[in-house]
Parts: sequence; C-alpha cells; structure tokens
Amino acid sequence: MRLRPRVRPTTAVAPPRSRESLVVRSPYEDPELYDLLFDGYREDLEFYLAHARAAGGPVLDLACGSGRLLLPMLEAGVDVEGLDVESEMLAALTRKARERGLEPVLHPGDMRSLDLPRRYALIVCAFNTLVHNLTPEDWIATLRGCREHLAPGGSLLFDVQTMTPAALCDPDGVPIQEFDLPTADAAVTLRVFDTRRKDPVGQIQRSRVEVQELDAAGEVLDTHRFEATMRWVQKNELVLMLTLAGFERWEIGSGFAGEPLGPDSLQLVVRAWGEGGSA
Amino acid sequence: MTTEAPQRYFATPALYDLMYATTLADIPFHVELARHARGRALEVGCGNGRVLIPCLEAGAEVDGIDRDETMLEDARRKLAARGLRAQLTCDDMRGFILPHRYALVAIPFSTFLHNLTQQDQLATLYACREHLEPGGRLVLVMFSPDPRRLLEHDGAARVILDHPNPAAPGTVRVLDALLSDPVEQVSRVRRTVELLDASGAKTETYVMEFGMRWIWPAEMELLLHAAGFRRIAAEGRTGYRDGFQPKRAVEARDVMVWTAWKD
Repeated sequence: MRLRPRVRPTTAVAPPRSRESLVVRSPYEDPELYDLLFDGYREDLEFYLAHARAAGGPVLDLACGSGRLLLPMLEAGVDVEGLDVESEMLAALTRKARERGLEPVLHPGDMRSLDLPRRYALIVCAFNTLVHNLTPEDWIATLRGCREHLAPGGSLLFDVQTMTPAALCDPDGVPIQEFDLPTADAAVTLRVFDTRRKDPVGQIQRSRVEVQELDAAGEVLDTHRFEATMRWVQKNELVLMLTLAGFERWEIGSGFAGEPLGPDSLQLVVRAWGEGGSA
Repeated sequence: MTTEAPQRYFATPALYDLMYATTLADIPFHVELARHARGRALEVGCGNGRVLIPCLEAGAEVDGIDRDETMLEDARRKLAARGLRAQLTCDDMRGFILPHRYALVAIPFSTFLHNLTQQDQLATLYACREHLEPGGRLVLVMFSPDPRRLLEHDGAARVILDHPNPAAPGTVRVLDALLSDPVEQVSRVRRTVELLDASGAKTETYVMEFGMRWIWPAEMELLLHAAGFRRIAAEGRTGYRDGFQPKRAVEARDVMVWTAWKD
C-alpha cells in the first residue's frame, strides 16, 4: 500500500551511464516528495511555534517550503508570512492553506536577496535550511538581509548543522542508514540512507540520499533518490558571519529544549538580535 | 580586551633551539618574502630569531617583536655575534605600537594560533593592519586543522619530533599531549622535551604547557575580512617535515599561507 501515487518512478530511468543519471528531482522542486519525506518531522514544531506566538509582531518564515511550520503558525493565529525560492512549494502551500480556509502572504524569492516591505519581530529559518548557502558570501548576504528585515528588538531564529572532528572523520562514500521515519500511514515507514562526501576545507557535504518506503513486513514499496549539497558552519565562524552581517548579540545552543552546545553537538540553535535586541 | 596569558613564552631560548633545530623548511620561504618586500618588514613573534636571522643574513631589512624578553635577549646576542642589526621590541601581537609602517608583516610558524579568543585574533589582525603601509601585505602561516589529528586530542602523549641533539651527543625527543574543546577550537598542549644521551638514556626532561586555537580555512578568511582586509589569498604548503612545498590548494593537514593586502 502506498501513501500517495508514485511520485517519481526512479526505476523507470534508463540504466545508469553515470551515478548522476539515477538522480531524480530534488524534493525542494517536488512538494509531494518533500511532504512524504519531511512533513511528518515535528521535533522543532513546538519550539518555532512557541517563539512565533511570543514574537509580539509579524513573523517571517524564511524558506517556508510547503508550509510544514507556516500552516500551524497560521492556524495558531500568528501574523506570519513566508518566503521560498521554489514556486512549486509555494503553490503547494497555497493549496493546502486554502483547504483550511487560510490565505497566507507568500513571497517567491531567494533568501540571499531579501527585499520585502515589512519589518519582522521574528524571522525563523528552520530545519537546517541555511546550509543551502554554499559560500560564506551567500551566508553573509542571507544573514544581512535578515538583519535588515528585523523590526527594532526583533530577532532571527534558526537551527543549522555543525561538524565535530569525529563526524568529519566518518568515512566518505559509504551509505549510512540515517533513520526511520513514520509516515501519516502507520503501515508505511521511510528508511533514509545517506552517502556523504565531505570537503573539510570548503565545509561542503555532498549527499546522495536514498529513501525507501517500507511496508509493515519490511518490503520496499518504492525508492526515492536525490542529491543534496550543503555547507556546514562552525560556531566561531558563525559568530564572525553574524558580526559581519550586523548582528550585535546572539545566543547559541544546541537542541530545541535549550541544551548547551557541547563537544558532540551536530546542531546549532541560534537566536540573534540586531541593535536594540533584548533577551 | 585580551585574555590573561603568561608573559613568558613556553620554552627557554636554549630549549627552543633544541626543539626546532631541524625545523628549517619554511625558512627559505620567509627569506624570499622579506627579500622581495618593497620596503621594511616586520616579523611578529620573532622569538630568538629562527626565521629573523636568516632573513637579515640575506640582506632584508626586518624588525621583530616578541612578548618574551628572554627570547629577544637571546636574539640580540645572536645578532651581535653575527654582526647583524635589527629593531627588536618586546610587545604583544594583540596591540603593539611601533613607529614604522611596513611593506610586509609576517607571522610565521602558527604563532597566530596562540590567540585563544576571537577578540585576540581580531586585535592582532588590527594591529598588523595598522602597521602596514598602503599596498603592504600581511602573511600568516599556520597549520590547517586535520580532523584526523583532532581526534588524537585525547590527552595521550605522542612523539612529534625526534632528532639528533645539535648541542651534544644524543637525541632530542618532543612529545605533545593535547586536550581540546572542539566548540571553541582551543587545544591545551602539555609538551614534554626529553634529552637522551648517546646510549638512549634520558638525561633531562622539561614539561611546559600552552594553548593553541585552531582556525578553519573559511574562518580565517572571515577573520581577515572582519579586520578590514579586502584582498585576501590562501595557499597550501606541505608540512615542515615534508619540505614546505607549494600545493595547488589548501587541504586539511597542510600548512596554510594567508596573504592579505592593505588597500
């Protein structure tokens, strides 16, 4: 049994000439695949929702995608707008919102060149999205844009991947079974394999991701493959980028329950304020 | 502004010479830099002259600063013995003030990594930039962090140098035991220098401690950018034991050479 109609029949492609020919569209261009993979992710929902509710002013969901966080925020009565570079994701979000009688304000656009009329009490950029900035220049452009779109006292809130020496030494090119995800259909589980190659100088990680849909008996119903390139950040480096982008104060932890950053942390949870910021 | 730090370098001049007697591969690089600088050069962290003296011997005009007066006194003795002259000043790289402006400011041999906080790193870069004449360049040489080596920061002592004693029969063995904070990128180094006689028996042991803060390549570029440099270049070099040869690009475990020009 399948969750949705087959999204991209990866088995229908011609026999691979190179590894690239196996690759289907990225989930960012394919809302159905994205939702299948990620819409069930809820670990960060309460965290971002609580901050959005407490913002006391307009909120911007940067790289809102198909609305995984934006829809619950809207339903909670938050004055939230979204921005995303993928028009199909925004179209999917609009459809889902209308089904619920909601009409969100959505901006198509690139996070590196933010240019919106409003100023926000809170800008959120969840779920490791900032790693799509593949150079420090892109990072700073994105952070500076956020800084310029904050209302006085407003803050930017995001989570992002970092690397430990141990994680950097994980072997490259080996498929690692990342995690199993439940889906809305209790009979179907997603099993995610990631084959990574890391460039420790450029801080670039190239992933070939394979997602298997498994039935209750563990049979593979369908397989999705895609590639992703991301640039991780180190805490000290991030502090420099925040400074260069005009932020004046920040708090950096790890995890959504206020855990401190430690030697094994692979995630940074960052809140940064421009001038006039307060805790 | 700056962190509390001991006023003395971790080694005495005599011990420093024993430890680094065979670390010579980077010297021709620095000599060429100083000789071709279009004006006066400054070495930050010149110590007792490992790099400075060969530069002066090659005819370059080079001044030096170091925070350790004992190392500078030793450098002055060596200069006098060789009939060389240089302006040597005891000062801190994080805020030195000299009367001259330089065509070249160089910080060789990972000395910049003794800055243990971002504030100290930036203070050092500001001070260097302040002392460059327009068009002058800052050259920083430091190791590039190798994740595999970082995993060895487990507190266990490992031999990093083992070479003939230049001053007496026998050998000099240097062991480092490191413990690191990977978030702050700071290593506490506990270094043991052992002198062994010709039969291999240990005759003297010295223990010293110091801190090093490693810098990721992308971070180094951002530091230079934050200190006001606009034109920045990076080059990779093989290690001090591997000839210090130029490479096409910086790689983990290499030495990285950063050059930044003052507009």
